[in-house]
This record gives sequence, structure tokens and C-alpha cells, in this order.
Amino acid sequence: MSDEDKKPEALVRRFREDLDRVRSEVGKMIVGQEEILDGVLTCLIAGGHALLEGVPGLGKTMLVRSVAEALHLQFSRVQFTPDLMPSDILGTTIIAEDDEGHKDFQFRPGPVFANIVLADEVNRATPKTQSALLEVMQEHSVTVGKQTHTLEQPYFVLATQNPLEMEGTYPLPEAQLDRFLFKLQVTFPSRDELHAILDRTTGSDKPTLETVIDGPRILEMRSLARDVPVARHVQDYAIRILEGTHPDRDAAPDMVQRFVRFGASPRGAQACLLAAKIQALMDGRFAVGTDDVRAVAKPALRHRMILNFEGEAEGVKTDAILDRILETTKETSG
Amino acid sequence: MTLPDDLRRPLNATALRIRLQRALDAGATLALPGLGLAGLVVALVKTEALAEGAAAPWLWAAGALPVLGLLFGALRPLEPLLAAKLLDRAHGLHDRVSNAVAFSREAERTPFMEAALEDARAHAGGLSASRAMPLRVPRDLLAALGVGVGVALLALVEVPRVVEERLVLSGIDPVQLHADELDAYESELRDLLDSPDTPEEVRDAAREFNRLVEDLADERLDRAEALRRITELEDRLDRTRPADAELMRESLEQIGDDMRRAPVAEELSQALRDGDAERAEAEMRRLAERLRNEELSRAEIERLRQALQRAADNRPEDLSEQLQQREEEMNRLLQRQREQAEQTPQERRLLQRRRRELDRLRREHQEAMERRRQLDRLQRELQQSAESLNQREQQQQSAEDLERAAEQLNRMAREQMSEEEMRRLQQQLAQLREMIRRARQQQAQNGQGQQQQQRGGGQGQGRMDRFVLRANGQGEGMRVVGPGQQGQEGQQPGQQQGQQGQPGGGQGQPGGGQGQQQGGQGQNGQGESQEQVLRIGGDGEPTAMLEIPGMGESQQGQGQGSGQLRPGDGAGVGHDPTLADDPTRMRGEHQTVRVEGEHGEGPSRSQVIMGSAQRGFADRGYRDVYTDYSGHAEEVLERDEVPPGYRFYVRRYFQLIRPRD
Repeated sequence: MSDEDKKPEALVRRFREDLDRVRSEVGKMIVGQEEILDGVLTCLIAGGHALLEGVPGLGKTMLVRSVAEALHLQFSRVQFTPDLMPSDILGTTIIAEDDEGHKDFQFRPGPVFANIVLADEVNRATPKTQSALLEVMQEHSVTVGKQTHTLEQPYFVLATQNPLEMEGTYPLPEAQLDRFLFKLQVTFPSRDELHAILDRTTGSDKPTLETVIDGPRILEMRSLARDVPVARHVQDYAIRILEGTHPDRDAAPDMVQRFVRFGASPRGAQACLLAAKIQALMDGRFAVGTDDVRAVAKPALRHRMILNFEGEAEGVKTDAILDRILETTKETSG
Repeated sequence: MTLPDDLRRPLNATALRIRLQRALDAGATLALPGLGLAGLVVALVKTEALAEGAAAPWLWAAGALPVLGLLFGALRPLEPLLAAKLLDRAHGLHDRVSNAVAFSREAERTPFMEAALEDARAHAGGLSASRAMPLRVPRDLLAALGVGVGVALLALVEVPRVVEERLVLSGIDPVQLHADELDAYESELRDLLDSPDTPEEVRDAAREFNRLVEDLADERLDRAEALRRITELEDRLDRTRPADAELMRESLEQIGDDMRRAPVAEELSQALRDGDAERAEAEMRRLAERLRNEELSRAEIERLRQALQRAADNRPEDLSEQLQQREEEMNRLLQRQREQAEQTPQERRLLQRRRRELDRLRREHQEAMERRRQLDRLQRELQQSAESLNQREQQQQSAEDLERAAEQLNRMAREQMSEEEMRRLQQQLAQLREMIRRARQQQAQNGQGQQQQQRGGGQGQGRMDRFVLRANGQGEGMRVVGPGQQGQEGQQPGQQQGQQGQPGGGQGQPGGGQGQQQGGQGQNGQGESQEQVLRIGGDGEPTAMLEIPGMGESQQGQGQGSGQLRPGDGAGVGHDPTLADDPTRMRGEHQTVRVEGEHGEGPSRSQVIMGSAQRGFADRGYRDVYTDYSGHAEEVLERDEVPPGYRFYVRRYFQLIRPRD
């Protein structure tokens, strides 16, 4: 790589080009859902994980599968059910016999041993299994017996959950939710998008996806994103937004004080800034702006706030609270 | 690396505009209280609650407020990166400028920071401070302008000031009468106005009189204007006062005499003789009722018939013919005077007076004829009643005739009442005129300085004090130094030789006086004790003369003397020196009657009280007594040529002792 290619301008340009190519390839399979795709890519580049929430049939699994194909990453999918055991996803040790007849314990990796793991309907599994998955997500390693198995990077878990069917489900605990970088809400496609979906899926032609970038490139991009500088006032803005989610802080709007029990953890601010950096790079800029923070604040914070009883009873959405916080938080302090 | 100039220029321009906008906003905001303060000060000055000199500092303070606002807004520190943020927001630069500013302050910059600075610089060409910070009209400017216009209008408005100055300052010398004196008039007039029986023309006149009294109380009238209005009111009363009231009274009296012969009509007769038409009406109705109820015997009816017949036949003298003759004579005089080619001013005045007199005669003539008609109707009714009584079985008809006669009397009673009240009003007007005259003379005597003092509120009190001093035998006597006695006033007609005594008897020393007073250097008057009489009696008939011991003519004293002044025993024969009228000219013949007084100390107070308790107090109401006495006094005043000054005293006295409800 020449010096010219190492300049920020070139790096950022290439970053954008690669992402555009990924978008383009995924776009062959997925109609619309640009925001969800950007969110997924942001989480992937940031090294975080994403939680997708949406009704069945909106293309969540297809989206993740397409991304995996475009990125030339190993993909695995786990359908979470109540009887799913941790070993089912982590892997297990079995007795293996070699050609000479020697028997030995061998670890047989589970589906989590992939670059991209789709944990479908994660809230249907028992907390035990959920915890096993979430440990993997946090530690990027699996310990079975006395042996720890490190997962290959990049490692990205994309969990989905259905907001409608709550019967027989185990909602994710707050501590585990906090481990997701983004919580993305998949919305129903528009009429034009539906036309396009039908055209693509009911015909005989099946689009094929090409690999545009690979794992190492993802890691490079992750490294690049961390180099993006954040000015103090922007960081301050992110912190003030975070403080705004805490009902015991002066900066909190009335709505927060009324409906929120616990605000977002510092992980929320980290997620905000990290995602904002990627957002700035996606936009071809070299530094994070407050607009970037504002753009990623809702997916980064919406699952980190815990509503109180009144908020739950009133059916208040955390998005509405975040909208209020973003309205009331000034971009400049002082 | 410092911030590139490409970025600094729009940043500085934007910061300048921010300061300007803030200065305007703060100036306009502080202009509101400033203008409010100015408005308050202007209002206070307009209402004279604040002196103009004291208002200046407040106005300066009000003017300084917006200036302070401007300075505060302009010099207030700007938030860091505010200008950069405004530029970013206005141009959609996603914090490129603010990041550049932030990174330019960093000591060590990463390649990405340098790239960010370059990126911002690349976008600096299109930055516009006016777009980032467009100047707008200050928020409170409209309100401030509104308040400013209000203050300006307030400054232009002329607040009517309450001028406490008396009219005398604007060139009018008001008549100043004491409030007590005017209160008496107001009280009487109020009674008149409040009474439901007061006829409308009397009520109008009383209302006008009341306005005059109020104007006098408020000192809104000078002497000429007051007298003019009094004259106007008197003329008006003259015009509306029923003429020939005396004729009416005499006629009723004559009818009453005739009716006296019928015992059943005794009360009616008495009422008619008293000239009381109202009472006569009531009695006549009672008589009619008795007739209707056939309560009278045949003999009584017969006597009543005769009395009625006599009353109907005995017609009073018709004076209308005389009046007509006088009117014709006056017309001739007027015609002759008009024919004269050249007239002196005196003749012209005479002509005018005759014209007025002619008018009055014509009016009186008409009214006399009306009275005559009323009397005729009354007598006709009496005649018919008598004729009905002549026929048996006609008592009912006679009663009806009497009822009709009573109706006629009722009309006459109303007119009589109206006439009496108008006469009373005229008397009061005459009193008021005299009071005004006296007030002027007193003002002239007291001099300007005292007048000023009196205006200050001491007038009434001063007069009261003097009155009390005089009543106590002091007063003028205390003040007179040396031989300052009143001069000889001149001979009185008739047997009286009058000399003015001192007011209150302070100077005179007729013999036998009691009480000693400290005098200044006045000479004791040498009183020559002569017989003095108080005449009582009617016109043309011998009257009683009450001789009062010690009422002598006082010779005026001369010389020095320290001394002790002793008031005389009796009443003085002089009068208030402020009065300049002639002495009374008695027209009747008088007879001197000597009444010997009882010597001794008289009954003690306890004896009087005991006696009263045993005998009882006066059995007639004070109102009746007052009516009798005041009526008698009026008669005397009308009959004798009593000078207005004296009349005033008499009437004033009766006015003051008038029974009040």
C-alpha cells in the first residue's frame, strides 16, 4: 500500500466504496430496509452485535444471510426454541475413535463457531441458553470443560425476536440486552418495496450474490473506524444525551423523570460514539459530528433504558423518550 | 496550526452578528422597563405628584436602561463554538467547521484531524455569516415601540388640573357669606322642595333660589352677579305670584262674617275670617256632609240658608275697574312721554320704569279678573245652595252645591298656599340681598388684609367672635381708642330724636347699669336718661307703647378716660354702624303706655321650674307661637316704612328661631 493510499482521504474513500459494494450486493436480495442494512453493517464493523426486532416474514434472516454471503464470512443459523440447550449452540465434547482404535474426547463446535451467527427468535430459548450465547458474544470465546475455544474474527451475532408472540418466551434480561450494540426495528415494507419483493421472489430467476469483501477487510475497516477523531464538544453531546436518559440527572427531561426507571449504561455512550464514527466514515467525513451521534442514538440506546411501571402501563416507547431527549439536549454546552 | 483565515473570517463575521443581535434584543427588552419607568414618571409629573425637577434623574435612568441592555448584549461572552455551530447548521456541514475549530486548538493532531481541517477549509468558500446568523427584528421591539408611543401620547396629553384657586384670583371678587347664614336658606328651601304640596311654579322658583344659594356658598358669584340674579328671581316671583291676594282674603273674610250668623257654620265662618281657604274647604265639606245626613234641624237649616244668602249677595267691591283706569292712565303717560322729541337720560329711565309698571298693572288686572271670577263662582255656589235649602226636600241638592263651593275653596286654597310661599321666597330674597350688602360694607371696613385673612378661613369665626364680644358688651368698645364715637346720625322724624349708640351698648353708660367692663381709653358716654318706648300697634290705630327704663339717648362722650364701661340697662337705640339706612318712619299713631316693672330679684330658677311643673309649660306648640309672632312681625314690617337694614335684622331673627323639624 502506497503512502497515498494510507492517507485518511484514501482510506475513507475506500471504506465508502467497500460499503457501497456490500450494500449493492445485499440489495440484490433485500428490497429496501437500507437503514436496517446500514445498522447491521455498522454493528459488524464496530465489532458489536445487533438485535433485530420485527414480525416474521420481513426478511431478517435473508438479510443476514445475504450479508454473510457478500462478505465471504462463515454463517450459521440457530433457531432458538425452549428446549435448546447451551451445548446445542456452543458445541460439545464427544468420544472419538481414530483409525488405530484409540478413543479420545474431542470437542465438536456448535453453530456459534462462525463469523456471522443468526440467533433466530432468541427470546424463545431459556435463559440458560441465552446466557450461553451472550457470553460468547461478549467474550468471543467458548469454554468447554477445561478448554477455551476462541472464535474467529470478525464475529458477529445477529439475534432476532418477535414482538408479537410473547407466550412461552423468555425476554432477554437487561444486562444481556446491553451487550447488543444496536437494537434495530424492522418495519413493514412500502408498497413499491412489496412489488419489488414479489417480483424477485416469485420468479424463476434467483439472484446470486458475489463476495465483495472478506473478513480481514472487515477488521481493517473496524480499525479505521476507531481512528476517526471525536471533538470534545461532540463527545460531550453524546454524554449529555446519555445523561438525559437518567431520571436522576438534571439534564433529564420531564418525560424521562416520569417514565424511566434506569437510564442507559456507559456502554450506551460507547456504542453511540463508535457507531457515530462509522456513520461519519459512511458519509465520507473525517470526524464525528453531532449529527452522527444523533443519527445513531436511538438504535444504540433504545434497548438500554428500563421503563418504570408507569411507563410500561402507559405504553410509552423508548423511542419517544429518546426523541424528547434529542429535542432538549443542546448541541453546545454552556 | 491555527485556524485557517478562510474559516476565521466567516466565524468572526458570524460572532459579530450574534453580538449585534444580542445587543438589539437586550436593548429592546430593557427598553420596556425603561419606557415603563418613563411613562410612570411622566404620569406622576402630569398629575403633579412629582416635581419636574425631581423627574429628570428618573428619566435619565429610564433612558440608560436600553443603553445598558445594548452594552450587555454586545459584550456578553459567546458560548464556545457557537458561531461555528451556526455556520455548520446553516450550510449542512455536519460539524465540519466546529470540528475544525476544535481540532485547531489541539496541540497534537492526528492525520484524521488534519484531514478534517482540510475538509472544513474546502467547504469554507461558501460560508455566509448572514446565512448563519440572519439579523431579525428584536423580539420586544414591537412591544417597546408600542409602549414608547403610549408614553409619547401620555406626554402630549394635557391632564386637567384641579385648580383650587378661588375665582377672586381670576378677576372676580366673590361675595362671601357665612356658611351658617346660607345653611338656613338651604334648609328652608329644601323643606319647600321636599314638600309634596308645593305648587310647581313655587318649586321652580325655589330650585332657582337654591342654585343661587349654592353658587354663593361656592363663592362663584360676585356682588353684581348675585344681585342681578336676586332681582331676576324677584321679577320672576312677581310675575308668577298671584296678584290681588289681599282682595281675595278680604272677600273670604266678608263671607266668613256673613256666615257667622249661622251657628252650624261657626267653624266655617272662623276659617273664612282667618283667610284660611284650606280649613274653610274642610269645614264646608263637613257642613255638606251634615246636610246630606239630615243632621240639622229645620231652624238650623233656615239660619244657614239666610247666612248663605247673605254671603252670596254681599259682593265685594270690584277693583278691576280701578285697575283698568290706572292702566289707561299709565298708557296715556307713556304715550305722552314717547311723543317728546328729546329725552334726558332721567326721562328715559322714567319711561322704562313706567313701561314695567304698565306691564305689572296689566298682569295684575288679568289676575284680579280671574280672582273675581273665582269669587263669583263661589258665591254662585253658595247662592244655589241657599236656594236649595229654601225648598224643602232639597237638602241633598244643597249639600252638593256646598261640595262644589268647597271645590272652589280648594282651588283658592291652593293658590293661597302658592301665594304665601312665594311671598316667603321674596322675603328671603330680600334678606339675602341685605346680607350681600352688609358683607360688602364689612369687607370694605375690614380692609384688604383682613379680607385675605378671612379668605383663609377665619372669616366666619371672626364674625362669630365679634358677635359674641358684642353680645357680652365688649367688642367695639374694647377697640375704640379715645373719642372715636359715632357721630350724630341726625334727627328722626316725629317725636323721636335718635342718636346712634354703640353696638352692643359698649360705650353708652346710661345710669343704673350693671356689670363693669374694662375699657380702653374710651370716655364714658354720658347717658341722659330719657323715656324710651317700644311701639306696638296697628296701622292708624292707637297702639301701645312700652316704656323701657334706661333706654335713653346717649350723648356721645368726649375726652380721655380709662375706665370702666358699664352697659346700660336697656336696649340701645342705635344700630350697627355698617348699616347706612334711614331710621324707621312710623306711620301709625301711637299711644304711650307705661308698664311698671316688678322690683325684686324675681323667682329663682327652682321656683320657675316648680311653677312650670305645676302649671305646665306653654300649651301651644312652638310652631303656632312662632307663626303668630312672625306673622305679626311681617305685618308691622309691611305697614311701617322699615329700612331694609332693620327689616333684615327682624326677618333674620325670625328665620333663625324658625322651628325645625
